[in-house]
Amino acid sequence: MHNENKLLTFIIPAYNVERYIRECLDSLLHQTVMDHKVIVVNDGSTDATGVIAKDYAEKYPDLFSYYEQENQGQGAARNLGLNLLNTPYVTFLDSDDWQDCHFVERLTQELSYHDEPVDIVFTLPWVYDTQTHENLEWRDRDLLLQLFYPNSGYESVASAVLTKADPRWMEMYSLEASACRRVFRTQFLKEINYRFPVHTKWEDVAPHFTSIHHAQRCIALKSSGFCYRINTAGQTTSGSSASRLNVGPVFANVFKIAEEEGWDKAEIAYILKCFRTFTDWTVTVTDQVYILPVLESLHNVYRTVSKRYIKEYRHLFHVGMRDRIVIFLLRSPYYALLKDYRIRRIGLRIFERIKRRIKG
Amino acid sequence: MSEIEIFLNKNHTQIRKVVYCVGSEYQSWQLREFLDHTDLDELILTGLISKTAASKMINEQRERAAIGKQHIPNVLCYQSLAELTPPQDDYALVFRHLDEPNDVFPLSHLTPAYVLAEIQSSDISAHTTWEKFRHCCKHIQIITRRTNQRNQVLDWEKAPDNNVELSVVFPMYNVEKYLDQCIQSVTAWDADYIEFLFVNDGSPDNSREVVLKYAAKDPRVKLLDKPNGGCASARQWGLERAKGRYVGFVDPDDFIDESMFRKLLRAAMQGDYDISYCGHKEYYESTGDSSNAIDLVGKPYCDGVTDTGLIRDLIAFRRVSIWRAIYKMEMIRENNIHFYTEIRRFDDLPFFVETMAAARSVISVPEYLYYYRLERPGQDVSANDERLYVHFPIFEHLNDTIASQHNARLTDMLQVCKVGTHRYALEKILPQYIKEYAIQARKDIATTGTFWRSLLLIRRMSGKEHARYYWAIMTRNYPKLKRMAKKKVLAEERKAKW
Repeated sequence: MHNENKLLTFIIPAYNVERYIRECLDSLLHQTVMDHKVIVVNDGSTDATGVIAKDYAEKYPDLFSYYEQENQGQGAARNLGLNLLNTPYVTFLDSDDWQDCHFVERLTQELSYHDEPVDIVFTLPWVYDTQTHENLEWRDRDLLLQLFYPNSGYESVASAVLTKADPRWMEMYSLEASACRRVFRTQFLKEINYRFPVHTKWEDVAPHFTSIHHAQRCIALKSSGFCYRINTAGQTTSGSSASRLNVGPVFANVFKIAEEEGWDKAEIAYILKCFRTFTDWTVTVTDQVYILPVLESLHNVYRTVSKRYIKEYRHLFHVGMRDRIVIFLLRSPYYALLKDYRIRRIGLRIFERIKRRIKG
Repeated sequence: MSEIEIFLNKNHTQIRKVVYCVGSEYQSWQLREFLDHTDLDELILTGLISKTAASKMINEQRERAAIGKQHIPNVLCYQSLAELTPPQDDYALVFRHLDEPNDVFPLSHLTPAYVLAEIQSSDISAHTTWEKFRHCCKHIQIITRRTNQRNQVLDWEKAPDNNVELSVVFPMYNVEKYLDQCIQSVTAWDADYIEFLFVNDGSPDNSREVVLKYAAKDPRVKLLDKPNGGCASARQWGLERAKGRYVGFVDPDDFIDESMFRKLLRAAMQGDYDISYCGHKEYYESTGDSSNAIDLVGKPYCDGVTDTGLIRDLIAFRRVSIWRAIYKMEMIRENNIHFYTEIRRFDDLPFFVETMAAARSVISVPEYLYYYRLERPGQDVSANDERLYVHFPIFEHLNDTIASQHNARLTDMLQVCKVGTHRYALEKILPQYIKEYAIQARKDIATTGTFWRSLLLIRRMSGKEHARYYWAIMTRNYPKLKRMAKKKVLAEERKAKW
């Protein structure tokens, strides 16, 4: 079969993953339906990753293609892959995860139910804890099922189509920001000029908002997805290094885009909600050494967010007092108070006590 | 989607044939889900399920496949347990909903290459099941379902050239007198996947011959000779030569309950824990009495803990000891944990803190199984002079390895541990050394925290007594320290009189 006739491209940026990349490529080599091709972009690895990937490309030339670049981060590697597309659909996969063996089959099936083209297909990955070998649920599973499968049981039925006119459209901003869990229509990506930011971590976040903002029709695929490894060494989400510093600038960028393009007030409130969860999580995991710069960068972003968006955020999500206090502190010059985990905890305890007294 | 299906999905190129053994309450939708997520050539349904129910299930799947909703394996059939003929080549044995040990053990004559199982914690233990199948299998994965708790997953892959699961290291120096009792107590468990490494640290007495005597009878006992270099170097020597997946340490002057290593290994393997530990008893040699040393072995640790916060708490609150625990070798190697050979005593303190800081899952066995011999002449714990100054180089090492990780919570735990250790030393040390010790302790404590914050921390974490010592050390109140030590001595005397 010729490349032009295939349905889907997987773009895999790979950086120093010699331990896992075989599993990842094998899972794509042995799909139950072979209607895809794979672009592996070696992001300047210093270990055997490149050799392994090249080996696959030589053995199976019409399935895998191999490219190299200097180390510029995952975003740049994905962009390189985006330039080389010639299939109607595209998705991403991280080189330390692996794909369900039925993925292409299920996707073909799901797409065949829908006559009009869809821009984004959300998939439902599962989570594999390498420490305890346990299988965990993907965090937004319930929301996804509510949105796309509002009244179906287990039986496999076609997903509902969410169009821009749907009142629940905005809810999609609350889905996990990962780019790997969605399949895009290539034409749609070209229209919106979809690019990942280069030289930053968290490259998934900004495209998450822009792609949903511009999409017209979305569906979901609940029966299949990739498998996401957690608790491995060297992950962005588990390393407590300086890479956290970038959460601030990443969201500053998103807010800037949103304001320039004149997005809806409610949409910005959703961005703010996402930012809030990121903030909480960042502050709890960052090292002692980096916490002050992190808080400072967060403070700089919160300060610039206009008050009316914060009001809208409170109004939309019925946020509690605790959330309001955190936002107040981060906007005020006293943001450094949050740097000590014990102060955060004691503050919380005092606050709970006052609340209880008022109620009692 | 359960772990079994993930495993079959991930390895679907190797595992094409499955013998699927299910209990009587297995439902049709469960089979449908199973087939949905896997990709197989051959599936033989068997177990306690009746023939009529099974063929009904199979027909349902065939109907679904006919309308294109599902892939089914080429061979999909039912065979009863009695006339089960497993496939010739590599296959996986999957069992589910088998509640009684008697349901599982008839299967143990099979020789599958993979075993994937789901069992209830109340019925059979994963370790026993593993023992039944470990000879023929390449990979075993057993999920233990527990009520109101997280599942535990045993994940075991056959190592190509050794079958040692647990190595126990004994640093040996002048312990001939106690060696017999020790060796007899550890070798009482007759599992063949355990090895005992006796490291002879240039001992001048007859310990070597005693070990050789046992080694002739029992191939699991091995003797390693090395030139004298202290307890830490002997442990390190053994650690480097240990082949097991887990490693444990026992002091040869102590002895253990016969079941200790079996219980520790069972607990550790069931959930693939990094550390598994139990409590110890203090054994008084003169009287032959023993009493439990009360420790943190109960909830939540006995259910298995993966929360790093709770694990870090053990640094501050568990009694320092490295015997009575087993450690995963992979964790030790990955984090480059080793013994500091230049430190002559209390070398277990840095090892203990470093392993607890590195561990990502811990389980305890809520029993007191290790007998710790007290009142032995020349023991480390009876030191009460400048030998106690060894704490300062130890904490310097720990500052390098632990505090340099800049994890606020971990550093705080180290601080609590430091104050606890210094308090212990100040209570024991002879009065003429108190001032010098306190000066050094003050310097040491100041490296990992500011004054007021540490005071509040210690008051909160370990109580007023410790805070009083902390205050006296930090305000250079040496007379007060001396008074407190004296009081302690008087109190102990009074207690002894009673």
